[in-house]
Order: sequence, then structure tokens, then C-alpha cells
Amino acid sequence: MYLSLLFLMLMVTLIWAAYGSLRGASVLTAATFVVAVLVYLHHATDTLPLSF
Amino acid sequence: MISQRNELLLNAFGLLGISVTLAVAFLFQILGGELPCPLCLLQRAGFLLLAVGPVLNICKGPKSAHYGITILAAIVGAGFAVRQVLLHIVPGDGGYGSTVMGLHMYTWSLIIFLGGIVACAVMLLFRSPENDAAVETKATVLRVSVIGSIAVASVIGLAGLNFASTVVECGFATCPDNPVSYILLK
Repeated sequence: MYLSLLFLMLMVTLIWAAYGSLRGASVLTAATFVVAVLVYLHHATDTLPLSF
Repeated sequence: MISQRNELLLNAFGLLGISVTLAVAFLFQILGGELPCPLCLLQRAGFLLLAVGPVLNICKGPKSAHYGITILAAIVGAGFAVRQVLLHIVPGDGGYGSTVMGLHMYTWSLIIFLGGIVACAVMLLFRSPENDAAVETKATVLRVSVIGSIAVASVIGLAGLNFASTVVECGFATCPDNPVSYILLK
């Protein structure tokens, strides 16, 4: 569901970047960045088989 | 120095490259029956984020700030890809999904995201500083070339396809780590 929402946001952001105002596109882009990182943190819960 | 016309053309080619990358991943999904995992979908989202800067350059006129957006998107996308590379880097792990020219798709993703950063750095080095100012005159700003229009339309179309595909694959729940079927088609 979160990934679907992210793709929907990306589609709206790209349409806005192409045909809408620059200010609106900037706000949508920033929001999409935040949502993408949050979705990543939601899914990246497995421990990596590594030690540094 | 790269002129504004050539800068817009290079952005259009970059956008077409992103579209081709997404289309290939989509073909593997539809024809090969390889359902994308959440990290794979996040990398696709990273490519669409990567497309925002070129779309702004083509439709609103080129600006250094738009390359900043592209670099940030490439770093975020590379982060998604690096995690998947590290998940399968241990010897004996067969990796996830099929390979293209010997490398898994997430490895190719990492290479393309890093290539995006390099491309932006080169563009910022060699673009003419007057390109920003030329935009303000509006003479050439909104005259989007045919190839630019095609590139923008293709990437928006692929964003829509990925949205529809993800809804069908995951339904209205959290996407499974190892998807084996489309939830809405069961």
C-alpha cells in the first residue's frame, strides 16, 4: 500500500513538474523524497549478514 | 561550454535512458514473470525520482538547482540498491531475480544511479552559466522539443504503469518480501 502511494505521488510530482508551477513541484518533490525514505525504513528491517 | 539547446537535448536523452531502464524492468516483470520485491520497487521509485530533475529542466528551463535534485535522488536510489547488493553479497547467496549480462538488476541499478551522479557533475562543470539567464528571457524556455516531449510523456506513463502494477501486486496491504503472485489477481 505504501509503495502504491509512493508511485502515485511520483506520478503526480512528475506531471506537476511538467505542467504545473515550479513551487508546487518543489513541494511535491520534497514530500516524495521523505515518503520514499520512510517506505525504505519500513521495509529495511532484515539484519544484513555483514560485519564492518 | 554546453549550450542551452544541447543541454536540453542531453536531459531528454537522460530521461529516455531512465524510461528504457524502467521499461526493461517492466518487461522482465510482465514477460519473465519476475515479481518485483519491495526493494526492487523502491529502486524503480528511485529512478522516477531521478527523472524529476530532467523533467524540470526540459519543461521549466535548465537550472543548477534541478541538477541538485537529480544528485539527491541518485544518492537515495543508490542507497536502496546498495542495501539489496549487501543483502546478497555473502558467498553462496544466489541473489534475487535473474541477471542481465552477468549482473543482477539491483547491481545495474547501483551502477546507473552512480552514473547519474557523474553525469550531473559533468553537466554542472561544462554547462554555460548563461543557460540559466537565457531561461528568464522565455525565448527558448518553454519551447519543449519533440524528443523532450516524448521523453517526459514516456516517464510519466511508466510512473502510471508502475502505480497500477504495484496496486495489483500488493493490493492494499504491505508488499510481501518475496512476492510469488499478484494479490489482486488471486
